Amino acid sequence: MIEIGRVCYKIAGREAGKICVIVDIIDENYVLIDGLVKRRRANIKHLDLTPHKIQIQKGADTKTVIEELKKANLLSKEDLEYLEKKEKFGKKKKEVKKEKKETKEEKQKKTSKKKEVKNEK
Amino acid sequence: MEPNKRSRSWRRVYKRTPGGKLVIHFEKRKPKQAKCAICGKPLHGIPRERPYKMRNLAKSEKKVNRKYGGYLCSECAREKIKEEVRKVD
Repeated sequence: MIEIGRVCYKIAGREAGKICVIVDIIDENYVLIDGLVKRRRANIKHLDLTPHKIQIQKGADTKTVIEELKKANLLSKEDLEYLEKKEKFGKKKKEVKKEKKETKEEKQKKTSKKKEVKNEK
Repeated sequence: MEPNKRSRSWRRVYKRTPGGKLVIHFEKRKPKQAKCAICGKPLHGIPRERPYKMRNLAKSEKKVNRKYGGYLCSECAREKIKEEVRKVD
C-alpha cells in the first residue's frame, strides 16, 4: 500500500484534513509527502491511505504533483479555492518585496551623495 | 474580618510585611482546567484565568493551532477527522 504516487490524507497536526501524495520513501517509519501540504517528512501513523493512485516519478516537483491531482479529479471545490488564494497573495508579496528593494537602493544613493558633499567641504 | 470577606469564594493568603507583621490578603479563586468534550481528559495549551483576563489575550494564546483545538484532545480529534475523510470517498 505504501508506494510512490499513493494518495492519502493527513490526520494529525495543524494541516489535518488535507490531501497529500507520497513522493519518496525514507525509512520503514518515515515518508516524504507533497501536495496541498508543505513538502516535508512525515510519520506513517499520521496518514490515512486511500485506494487512489497517480503516476509520478520519484522526487517530483510540487507543480507536477498538483497538475496530476487536478487531472484525476481528486480535488474538491474548497481545495481549488485555496489554491487560487495562494496564487493571488503570492503575487502581492513578491511585488511588495520588489518595491522595498527599490526604496533601499534610492536611500543608499542619497546617503552616498551627502557624504561626497561633506568631504568636498 | 469584614462581613463581605467571610465567604469561601475569597481565598485567604498570609503575607509578612517588611515591618515584621503577619497580614491576610484576600484573592479571588481561579476556574478549573479545561477538559475534552468526549473523553474528559485535561486539555493542553489553555490557561486558567478569570473572564476579564481571558478577553484581553490573543487568540493563539487560548488554544492549540489544530482542528478542534481547545475542544477535543488529540486522539479524539484524529478519530473524528478519519470519519470525515472517509465519507468523501
